[in-house]
Amino acid sequence: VTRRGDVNAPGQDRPPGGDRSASTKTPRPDRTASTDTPRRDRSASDRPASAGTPGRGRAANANTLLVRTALVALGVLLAARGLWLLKAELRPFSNALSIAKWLVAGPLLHDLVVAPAVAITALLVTSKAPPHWRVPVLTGLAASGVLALIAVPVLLRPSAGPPNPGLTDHRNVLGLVITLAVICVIVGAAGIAAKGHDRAGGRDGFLAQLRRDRGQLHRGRGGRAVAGRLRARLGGPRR
Amino acid sequence: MSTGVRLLPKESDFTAPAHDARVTSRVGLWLGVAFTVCFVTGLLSHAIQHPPGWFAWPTRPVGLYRVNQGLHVISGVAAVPLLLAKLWTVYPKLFARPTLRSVAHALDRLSVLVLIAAALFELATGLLNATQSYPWRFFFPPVHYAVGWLAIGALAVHLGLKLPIIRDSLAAPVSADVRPSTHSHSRLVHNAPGAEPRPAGHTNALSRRAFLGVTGVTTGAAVLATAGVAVPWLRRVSVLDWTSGTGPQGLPVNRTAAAADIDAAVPWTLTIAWPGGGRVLTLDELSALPQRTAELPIACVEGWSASATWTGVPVRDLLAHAGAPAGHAVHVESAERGGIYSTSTLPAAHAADPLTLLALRLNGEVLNPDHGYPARIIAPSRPGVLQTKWVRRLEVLP
Repeated sequence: VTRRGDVNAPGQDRPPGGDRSASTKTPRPDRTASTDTPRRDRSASDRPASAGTPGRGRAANANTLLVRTALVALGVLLAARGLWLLKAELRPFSNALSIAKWLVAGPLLHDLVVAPAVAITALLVTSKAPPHWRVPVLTGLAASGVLALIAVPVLLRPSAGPPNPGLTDHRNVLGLVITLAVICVIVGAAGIAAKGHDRAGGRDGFLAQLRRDRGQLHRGRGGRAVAGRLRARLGGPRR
Repeated sequence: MSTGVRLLPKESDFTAPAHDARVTSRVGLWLGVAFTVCFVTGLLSHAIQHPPGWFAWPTRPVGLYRVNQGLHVISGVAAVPLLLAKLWTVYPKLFARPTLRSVAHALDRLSVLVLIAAALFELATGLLNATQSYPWRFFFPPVHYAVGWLAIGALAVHLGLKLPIIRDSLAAPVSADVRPSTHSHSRLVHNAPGAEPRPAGHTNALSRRAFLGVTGVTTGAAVLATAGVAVPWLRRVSVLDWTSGTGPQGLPVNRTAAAADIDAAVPWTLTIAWPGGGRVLTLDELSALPQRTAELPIACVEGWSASATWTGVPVRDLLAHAGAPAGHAVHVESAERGGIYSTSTLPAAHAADPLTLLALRLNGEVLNPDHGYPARIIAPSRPGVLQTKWVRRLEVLP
């Protein structure tokens, strides 16, 4: 089922003419393999070179095994150094307990709180938001969420040290509020632009259009097409 | 969907295109760069504060330590959205069954757990420390340092274990409709020709390319919002900058005279000592010596930095005036009682540098008590915590 404004999986096979993805309309050189060649051929061309002559493949595999073994061995040594350094910090027992708590809290909080919250939010947005709003809204939510997360220690300052002029007297609530407002405005503008473009008869999503413009610039067709599209986007009738 | 309420999702419930090794390894590549920068700058900062015998840190450019710590904090902030994005791409694997397939698989999962625990620990404690919060019992610097080794070690193990899938998925185009196997770690598998399209749920989700775009935009936003801590000209843009960048005489203070328990009533003298000799100077004598003015940054281990104009006596001139031998490291003692940062050691290179000052004035005024009145050390390319304040004794080491 192809939905209007779908920006997904541009390489997927679609009925001819009904395909809205930029990659099929204007194949870029680096993507021709993924759009024009039949699947069976692709599987061979996508494989790394090591799948070529058997002899070379064996040598490459041996090299890979060597690199992998070296990485694992090096990693074990580095981690062992970390544990050895950590051992000196485990006394008194309350220290060890505190370190353990902070080590365990990260994976637990992520797996049980952060990731489910992301999953539910993303599910809501992708099922409820109109197609042209999806990318702007998800981008805005991701940026807002990360900025809010980074702002937590700045705003709350749990167990702060003694006050330091110029360093700890700056609770930037206003800064975060302004940032979130700016993100909302950008999301709104991007969504409206994509929607307006849809109504004006544009068939691609906003991002696909941008990508195509970039492709034309790359191929040296100059900025005329881009300028025309900008004019169209700024209000004039399309062509 | 099956009947009844399932508490846990299944791996196959996650149908979004972003749950794909091609996305994971691309985000992982960026994250690897951020982690490596963070680890190397952290190592350097640690070595500057606890120099092993073979280690030397240059005195020029004067802002070198400032750049080092700026990179440390900015790469750490950038790693927050990158790590979250990367974890999201592999989140379905948490629900893969059977939980443990073999000893090798168990070790693989253990290494991933250690990596995630250590990485989140470093980012969380680092960010809290940068904003001067300490909601824990342990002493931050050695623990953050030790877990840094643990994280980079687990990362190397992880790279070693995943190398084939990383290589294959980086070589495969992001948009093409091939999927790396969720079970085999060795090869990408390709959807068979005419295979049934993936479940309808995924068509609404972000494409792989769009997911990478969102990750990039979010990382950029996080960096812009905080980089002003270390990059002065970004201060206006950095809305989450946790420093105001001002303070007494236009410069932030990281330890006040009150916190350091400095008793202004005690008469001040400066003692200069060296093997076999010594000299005591009063503040008037010190002020009468030829002064030098220099623009030098003060750059904290916690990432913030600010430039200021300092005036004082170059330490090497002061030692020469007192008759102390040149070319040695110099131990600096503060009037601060107790406190692990009440002393510091200027390496020989810094002690000999004409820009290393025993400063008496800041931005044209006599030092504020919070900036170390009557005299403090300010040296080029040094951690702020070693720019000892309220100096009362300089000892030339043998």
